[in-house]
Amino acid sequence: MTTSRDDDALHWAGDDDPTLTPPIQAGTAPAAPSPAATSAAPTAPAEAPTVLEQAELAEDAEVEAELAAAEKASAQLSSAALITLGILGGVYLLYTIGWAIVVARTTVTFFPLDSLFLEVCFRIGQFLSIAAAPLWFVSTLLLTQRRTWRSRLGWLLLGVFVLVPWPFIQGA
Amino acid sequence: MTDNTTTPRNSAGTAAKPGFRELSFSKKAGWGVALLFALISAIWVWVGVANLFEAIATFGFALSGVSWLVFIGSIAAPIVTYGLGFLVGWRLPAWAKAVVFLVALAVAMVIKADLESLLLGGL
Repeated sequence: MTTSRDDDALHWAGDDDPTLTPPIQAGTAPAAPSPAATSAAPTAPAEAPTVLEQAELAEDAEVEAELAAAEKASAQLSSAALITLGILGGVYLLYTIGWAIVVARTTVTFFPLDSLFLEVCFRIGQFLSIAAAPLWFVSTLLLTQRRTWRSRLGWLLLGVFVLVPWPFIQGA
Repeated sequence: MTDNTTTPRNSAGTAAKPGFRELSFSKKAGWGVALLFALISAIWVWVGVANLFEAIATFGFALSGVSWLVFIGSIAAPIVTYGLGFLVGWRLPAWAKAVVFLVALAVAMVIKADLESLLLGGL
């Protein structure tokens, strides 16, 4: 019993003195980014890094890699996409203005508006033709939030082709 | 292995047509949105058909080719955009379906105005 206590005491003292494993481990951990290198190096000295410490180190590295990947993804989106989104938003704004001018200039209707019902339908249709461009832009941004950037851009470009204000271009 | 993968799919395919009462609330709401916008689109289809009949009653069948294009296009535009909206919003929730159908209806109005400007010329 006494001998085992002595062994324990000697063991702790010997661990502290020659190798100084905790400072070495702390020094190598930030330098090497991969969790395999940091966890493999301290296992060679006798018994300093426990399984728990290794697991913690691996978990930290995993979380940091995940965070870096997320930051990288969000940074890519904001940098390249903002200019394109701005240009497309300007195009959609011009389309809206063009359709508003078309509606404002409309004096002759192609179809006769005999009844109040036809009149109301015609007015709603006019309003929708003005609102089509902003509706397309906003709903595309809203509904493609979880899609890839390419599909979002594709839907916006499709709207640029579909919503061209031809009556305005013909008149201008 | 192929038997294991194919047989459940077949059984699911045969049993995948529950009655309307057995659908979840969100799917019912989605079908309700689809029905609502079908009725709204049908109003413009009906207006287009009425305009076509009135033109035929006034001018007979001697309409020009562009006129036929405008009449038929005005009838077809709400139907086609509704169908496309139905496909796009197939797997989306009910509110998103409503947004898609609204955009589809607006696009139908844009197409109608484009077609009418063919006959009226620039405004």
